[in-house]
Amino acid sequence: MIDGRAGYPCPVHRLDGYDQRWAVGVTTVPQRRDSLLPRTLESLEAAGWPKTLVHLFVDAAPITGYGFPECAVRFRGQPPLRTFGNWWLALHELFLHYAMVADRYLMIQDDVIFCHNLRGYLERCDYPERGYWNLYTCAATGRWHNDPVTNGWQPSGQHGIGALAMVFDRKTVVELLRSDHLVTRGIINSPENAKRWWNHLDGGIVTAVKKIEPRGNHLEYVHRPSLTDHAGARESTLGRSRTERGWSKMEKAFLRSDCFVGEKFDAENLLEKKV
Amino acid sequence: MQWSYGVLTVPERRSDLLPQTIRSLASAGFDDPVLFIDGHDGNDADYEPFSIVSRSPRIGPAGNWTLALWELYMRHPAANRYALFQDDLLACRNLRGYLERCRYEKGTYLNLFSFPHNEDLCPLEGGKRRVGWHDSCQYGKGAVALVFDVHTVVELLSSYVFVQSFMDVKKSKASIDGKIAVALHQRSGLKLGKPYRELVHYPSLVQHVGEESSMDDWKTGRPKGKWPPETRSRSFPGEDFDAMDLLSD
Repeated sequence: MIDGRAGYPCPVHRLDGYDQRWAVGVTTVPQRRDSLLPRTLESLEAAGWPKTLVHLFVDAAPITGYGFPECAVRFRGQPPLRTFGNWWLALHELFLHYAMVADRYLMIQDDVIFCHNLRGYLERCDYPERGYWNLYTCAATGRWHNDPVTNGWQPSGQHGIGALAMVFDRKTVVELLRSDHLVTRGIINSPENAKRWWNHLDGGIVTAVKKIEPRGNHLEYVHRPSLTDHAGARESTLGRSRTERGWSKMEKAFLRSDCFVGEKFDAENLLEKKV
Repeated sequence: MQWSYGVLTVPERRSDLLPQTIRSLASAGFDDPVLFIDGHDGNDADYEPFSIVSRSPRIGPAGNWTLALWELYMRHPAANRYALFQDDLLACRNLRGYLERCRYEKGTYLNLFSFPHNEDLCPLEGGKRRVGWHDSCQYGKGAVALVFDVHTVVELLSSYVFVQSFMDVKKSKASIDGKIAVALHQRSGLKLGKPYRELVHYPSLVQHVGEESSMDDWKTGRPKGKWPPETRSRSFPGEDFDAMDLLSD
C-alpha cells in the first residue's frame, strides 16, 4: 500500500502484456484537426493506446466529414463549451460508457506527446490509494523538484499544473463527478468571473480531489522524469493569444517540461529489474 | 425568465416522432431546443436549424439524459429553469408561459407528464380533481418532460447515489426517471430537512405518444417493446388547449 504523502519509486517489473482496462478520452477543437491532434494520436498509439481505444470529444465542430474513423467521435454544438466544459463532459461520458468495466480513465488534451510504452509502465506502477496521476511534470509543478535525484512518483505541489494527461481510477472518477466544488462552480462564480467556470481545469481538479473526504488525504502525483510533454507550445485553447503578448516567466515554466525523456524513450526502462 | 432546454432523441425517430415533438414544443413556447442525438449517424442536415450534440456510439437513454442535463447546466449556469424533453410527446399550447407564472416551490422538481397512477393521487375538491401541482407517488413515473431549477440540478448532479447508480450492473440500465427520484429523495432539499419532492400537474401538461420504448428492460436486457395504453395520461387536454387558460381556474 502506498503512503498518501510520501513519494514512491519506480516499481519492480511484474507482468508482461497489458492487464488493465482503459477508458481513453481526448478533448480537442477543430483548429487542431490536421496538426496537433494527429500528432497526439500517433504518439498515443506508440505509447500503447491504439486509436481504436480512443474517444474523441470535439468542441464546436461540424459533424459531417470530420475524419478519424478509427476513433469514437463525439461532437458538441455551438457555441464552444471550451476547455473545462468539454473535458468535464468527456470524463462523464467515458464514465457512463465504462462505469462497470474500466480500471483506469486516461484524459488527454490534443497537444501531447508521450514516451514510448507508457501504458505498459503505468500498468506496473501502483496506483495511489488516494489520488490521481498527472503525467505532465514541469518546473512549475512544485515541491517534487526539491528532490532532483529520485525517479518515480511524488506528490506535486498540489497546484494542478497542466491537464495534458491525467489518469484516474474508478473510485476517484466517481468522487470527482459528484464533487460539490466542480458542480457548483458554475453558480458561485459571477458572470464577470465566468472564466473560472470555463478555464482553470487543472486547478479545479486538484482542488476537488483535495476536498474528497477525508479531506487533504487525496493528492495529485507527478512523475520524474516527465512522461509527457506539450506537442504545441505556441497555441492555447484557453482564449489567450500568448504569441501576441509574449510569455511570462511563469508561463514559460508551464509550457515545456524540463525533464521529459522524449518520445523514443521506452518507459519500461524505468522499471527496476528484478535480480 | 431564462430557460435552458433540450430534446433527447435517436436517429430512428428523426422523420416521424421527432418533428412532431419539435412542432408541438414550438407551439408550447420551446421553439429552439438543443437536440441531443444518441447514436447519431453523421448527417447534420436532418436536424437543421437546431443546435445538436451527437453521441456515437450510443450511450443509452439514461446516459444521454444525464449528459444533456450537464451540458444545459454548463452552457447556462445562471438559467432560471432547465427542461429536458423526450422525442415522443405532445404539449399544451403556451406551456412555457404557464410554467413561468407558476410558483416554483423550493426543494421540488416538476414532472410535466402525469402518469395515470399519479393522476389518481390528485386531491379532490367538490368531487373534482383540483387543478394545479400536487405530489407524485415519488417513484419517478416517466421522464418525458422534466423541469428543474438550478439548485435541484446541482443537487442531482452532485448526488453520490445518482452517480453511483451507473456503476451497478442492473441499475445502470434502469430508467432515468427512477434514478432521479431515488437520488433526489435522498437529498435534503436546500437544508430544509426533508427530501426533494416530485410534483405533477392536473391536468397533465404533456402526453406521451411514443408507442415503442427506446429503452431496454433493466431486468432482462431485452427491448421493452410497446408501451401499454395504460401508460398514457388520461387528463391531457390536448395540443390545442391553451395552458394559460389554467390560470383563470
